[in-house]
Amino acid sequence: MPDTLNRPDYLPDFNNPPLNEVVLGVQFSQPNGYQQILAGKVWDLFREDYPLVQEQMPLQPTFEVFGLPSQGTIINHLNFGVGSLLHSRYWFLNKNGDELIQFQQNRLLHNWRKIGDQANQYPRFESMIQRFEGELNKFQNYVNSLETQELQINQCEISYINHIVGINGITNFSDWLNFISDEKMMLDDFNLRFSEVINNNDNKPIGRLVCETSLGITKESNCMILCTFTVRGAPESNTINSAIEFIKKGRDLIVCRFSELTTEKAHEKWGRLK
Amino acid sequence: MPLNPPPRDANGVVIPHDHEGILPNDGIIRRASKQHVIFDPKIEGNRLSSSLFEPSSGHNGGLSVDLQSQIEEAGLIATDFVTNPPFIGSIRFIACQLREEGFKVGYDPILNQPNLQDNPYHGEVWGNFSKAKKKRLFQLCSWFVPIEKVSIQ
Amino acid sequence: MIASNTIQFPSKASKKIEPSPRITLSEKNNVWQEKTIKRLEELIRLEIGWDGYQGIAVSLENVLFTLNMLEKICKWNTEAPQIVPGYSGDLQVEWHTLNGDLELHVEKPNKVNAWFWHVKDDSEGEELQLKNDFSKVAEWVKAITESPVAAESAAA
Repeated sequence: MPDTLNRPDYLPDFNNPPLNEVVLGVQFSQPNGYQQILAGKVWDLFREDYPLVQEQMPLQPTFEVFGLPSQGTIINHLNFGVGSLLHSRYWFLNKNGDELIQFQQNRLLHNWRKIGDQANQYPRFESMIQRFEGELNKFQNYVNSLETQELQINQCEISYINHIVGINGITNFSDWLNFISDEKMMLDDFNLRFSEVINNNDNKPIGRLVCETSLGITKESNCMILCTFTVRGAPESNTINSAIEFIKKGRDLIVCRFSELTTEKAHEKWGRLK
Repeated sequence: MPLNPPPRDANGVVIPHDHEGILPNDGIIRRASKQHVIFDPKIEGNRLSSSLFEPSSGHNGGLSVDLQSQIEEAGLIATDFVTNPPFIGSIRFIACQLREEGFKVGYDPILNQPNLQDNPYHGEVWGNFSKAKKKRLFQLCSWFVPIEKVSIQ
Repeated sequence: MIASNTIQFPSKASKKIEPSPRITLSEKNNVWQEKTIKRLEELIRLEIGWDGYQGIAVSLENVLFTLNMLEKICKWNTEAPQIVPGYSGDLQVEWHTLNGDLELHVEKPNKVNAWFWHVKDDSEGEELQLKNDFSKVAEWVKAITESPVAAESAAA
């Protein structure tokens, strides 16, 4: 039974949302005393629930900062040989493969994803965030055993990846997304991205909400809409509590924005509860 | 005279202190790398960056220095000792100048540390390295081993 | 960080005639980028003890944070800053012009000490502790790198 007891009343809710994947994550400074050879010790912290492991390319650090308007990014053009400065990103997977922890020396993320026949149920945010907080605390205790220190979290993120799929694929985009008009355009393909600045109560920028929408195909070769919402930014302080607060606020923003950008007709299909 | 061992915390890290064995007129040397050299069109030439006086951000972190009297008492030539690695320059204070500015001048020998060359004459300067203080430090110091075509400030 | 095996939409697009390359009238190369990146690549590979003590190389996270910061404070034609490594993986971004001095000490991500002094300023300059909003610094960069005081007085 999905845990929705602590879900805020003001948030829109769907019985069967088109979610395909949810990611909760933090980025931090490499803890003192940590070396690549200790990655196995970190796996040991989670191994009981996540007994499988895979190796992936590392993610390079990213930061949300503010000032002049965006002039395009240069970061991806750098040639710092990140591979030589960061160790592999490890996926610690559960037996089903639908939940995983991603770890490298400056990141810890928790993913849930649809797998196989896509029938596995989303465990809901309330349950995921509770577990992620527990995982962060376990990791905090571990780094504290290397040297007395607090985890220095510098960025947090939450992503919701939606796969909007009709029974026979997508034909009219405006049935699903309310910012597209099929009447005015004969759309063949699209790829849209926009971002918004998120301010704190003092009206200071703390992060961004990024929405990316494009077309994709299902395994059955039907057309679908990929709709990804990500909130990323700096927590108020470097602590785990502060990071969890940030991610919770990010989730609220994503759910609200998702509801605003999708149509009532789509909401009916997904079983909108409120 | 050899200096008494410095005070250390439970982790063995030297606690900021003003060492009584470092006398008021003792030379306090700070090495300067070519990495610290910047160009300033206001003087139409190169000078040292204020980051030369940026202390370590670690626990109990201070500004690394060499204690001239200790080097010389060991029978070494101080200008040679601090010019390591090659092509590095250095500036010099007198301990009392730093103390008058509110800094503590202490002893922190580096011995038997992995990947580090021993330096039994290593000291630290602790205090508030604000922009104004850094500017003041540039006024107080003089070249010990000059870097060619580079001004102090 | 996404773990799905999502297939980005290739089929329809691949059947179409490739669009012609984008032609823009204002394609600009950022003046500061190349020099800055070259310098940072150098600093990230400094050897332990580069300063004659126990100085370490500038950290990857500080390099990337600095680049993000520079993107938000420099215009395409801003002169490249000078960059000086710190002892603990930190770094200092500096502009010194006839207009004054600007120094940004990046101690770690979200912790920047910014100091600005203009030649017309009688005080010891303005100092700020900044986290991730560099709007004020963007103004300082403009003030220090544009309209040199010398040129202004010559014109007068």
